[in-house]
Amino acid sequence: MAIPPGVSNRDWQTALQQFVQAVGESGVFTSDEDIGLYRDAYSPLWEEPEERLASAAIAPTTTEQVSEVVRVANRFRIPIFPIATGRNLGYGGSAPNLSGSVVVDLKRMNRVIEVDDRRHFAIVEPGVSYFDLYRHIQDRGLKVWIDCPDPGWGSPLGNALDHGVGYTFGAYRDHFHSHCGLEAVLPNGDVIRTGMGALPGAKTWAEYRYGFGPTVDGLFAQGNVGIVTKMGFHLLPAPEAYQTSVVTVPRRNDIVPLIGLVNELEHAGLIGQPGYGSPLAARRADLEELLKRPGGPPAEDLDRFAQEQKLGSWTCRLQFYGAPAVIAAHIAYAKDRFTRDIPGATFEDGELLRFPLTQEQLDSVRKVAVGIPNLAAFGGRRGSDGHLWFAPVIPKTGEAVLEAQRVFMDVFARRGGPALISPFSMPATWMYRAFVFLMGFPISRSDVTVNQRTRETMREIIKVAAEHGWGEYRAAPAFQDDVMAAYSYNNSALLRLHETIKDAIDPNGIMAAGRSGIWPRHLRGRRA
Amino acid sequence: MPSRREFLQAGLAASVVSVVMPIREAAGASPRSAAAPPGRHPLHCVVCDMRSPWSTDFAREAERLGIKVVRTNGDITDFWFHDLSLRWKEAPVAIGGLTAPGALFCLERLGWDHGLRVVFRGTHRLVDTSRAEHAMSGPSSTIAAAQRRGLGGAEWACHVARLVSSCAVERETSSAPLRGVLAGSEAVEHDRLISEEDALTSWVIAPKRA
Repeated sequence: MAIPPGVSNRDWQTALQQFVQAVGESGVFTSDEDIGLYRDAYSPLWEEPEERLASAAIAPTTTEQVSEVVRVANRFRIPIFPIATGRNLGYGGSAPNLSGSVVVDLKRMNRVIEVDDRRHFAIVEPGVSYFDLYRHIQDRGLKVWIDCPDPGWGSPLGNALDHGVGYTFGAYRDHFHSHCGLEAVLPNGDVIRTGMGALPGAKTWAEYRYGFGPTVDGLFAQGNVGIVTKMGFHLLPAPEAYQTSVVTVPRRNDIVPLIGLVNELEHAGLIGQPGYGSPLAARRADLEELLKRPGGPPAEDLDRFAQEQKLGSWTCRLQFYGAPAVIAAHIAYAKDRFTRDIPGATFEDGELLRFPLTQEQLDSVRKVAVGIPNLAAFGGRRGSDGHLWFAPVIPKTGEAVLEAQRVFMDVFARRGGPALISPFSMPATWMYRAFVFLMGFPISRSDVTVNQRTRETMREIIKVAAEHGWGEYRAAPAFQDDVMAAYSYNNSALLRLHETIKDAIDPNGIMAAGRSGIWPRHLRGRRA
Repeated sequence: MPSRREFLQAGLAASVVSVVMPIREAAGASPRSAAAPPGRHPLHCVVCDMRSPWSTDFAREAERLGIKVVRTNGDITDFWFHDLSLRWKEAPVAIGGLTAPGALFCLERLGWDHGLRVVFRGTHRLVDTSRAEHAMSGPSSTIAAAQRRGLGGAEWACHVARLVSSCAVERETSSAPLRGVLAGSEAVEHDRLISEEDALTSWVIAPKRA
């Protein structure tokens, strides 16, 4: 068993005894076998000396126990690292930024406090999974939907705190944006409630997020000033029906009006998450010579190929939610707009699905689009050692997509080896007001050189993205310093503010040291 | 100082538990919940991936042994949501399977939260139409049984079903690579080939030893 950095063996043993007093024997894990479970399954540092590893884990069941754990940690200056369910694979899993930290595992705090389907909100603890919340709602026949990520085995609270995203409608997809009020344990053990929750006996904690005075909730997301133990969420009222319509546009440069129109529909609340694609992506082998041309394939040549093959250049799956009559009107309006603005646009409507779905419909529907958590993402035939997400945020325009393709393809061309994107790659659309040009870099458990190469490429591509005004919205611990360094406006004024806040609230630097590149004073300037 | 890999192997050794599903059902008997001998855990079920003909063989043999079979298309969501998550809330019962790696990846991690661990793990691939390669780790006597019996012949997935169903009860673990020549002169059908990337995995997840 490792000892946390800077802690004497004597203090460590005493602290462990006090952790046991706080949460009970069954809630303290120190064996190598148990600690091994908190490794990042997709670590880009797997089996290397720098791999981020915990020293122990503690699993409280109540806010009071969390508070006592934090007090003990503060007493002995033991670094702690809270996790909800630790399922953010590709972004760090349950491993800490600072090796030797004690993981505070909140899975046992798994109560659904409240779900209200007249005012459309939920309040949950960190250990509640999307499956748990979905089951709670289904078992009671409540008329609300959750918005879940893919896969859906994580925690709504944990996902929101990592700025996680989903697949349904509007701002519900931005899980931190849809949160409303939280309870947190500060590094001194004090418990706060934000928003209306600060009012004893408040009746609207999960409905009005601001309460009175400055809001501080954002400090707890991707932050390290406390352990969130409860969180409210706004929920989508269950719609009557759902239907998709896929619009296909013929020319490469149609991407500009396509995205412009989809933005209008989405920001006006007419559609849910759009899903872009290119039918040409599956024909890359036929386009090999064109793709090799310096500067990329000419648009007119790609258009000619698409026309000859009777393929479109781009598609977008539009998702409509609501009453059937409203859906029909929205689809008609969307078709009218696309037909007027993009000559040659065609449409393919999906089946109108009325809720509740039949079993056959359930089996075929894209589950995350209708708020059903699932694990289908792991259902492929092939095994893999994992991936590391590179997640730059780019503007929601066709011009930006084409520029990002060029810029990132240049990085891969310069570095050699296979490119993770092509002229047909499209960004992820989880965010309501921006795109994420997501790429999954390979990870290996058996070949260190794969991970070394991935790390080198990640560090370079983070810098290249920043040079073009694109920053990452999320990153694995091994790259959080790099990403935060890119957010450097005015001599890194934002990071300096974070550090000032960190020093004031957590003077001993015990809480999630290094998360988002925010280190406590005694560790500042060095990597974990 | 032990390496991280040794830590994990030690963890596996420490977590080996009683997992026995005796061969006692005649062919054609309907599956039913098995009562375990004293001190031994019954398998709640085995999970199969019906996209794989080998896993289909495994399922058929498991059923012949009287074990409940959960058939999937690779996605374990329904099994997890409607069956296993409810079962594990009541008690950490053991399960086994021959699946694609993703199913095990999920079930292993979900099992951790309920005090279960992988106690037997095998990987299986067909390198060409006549040769199979297997690598297994788990209780020493189970591995020894696999070595004695071998996994040759086109019925290897049935042998694996029997190994999974009778996984031994002991702390000591070992691992072994095995090669099998598929039976007869007839090569297996092309759709039965398993590349390295598509390797199937056999496994038993069982309650962590106290």
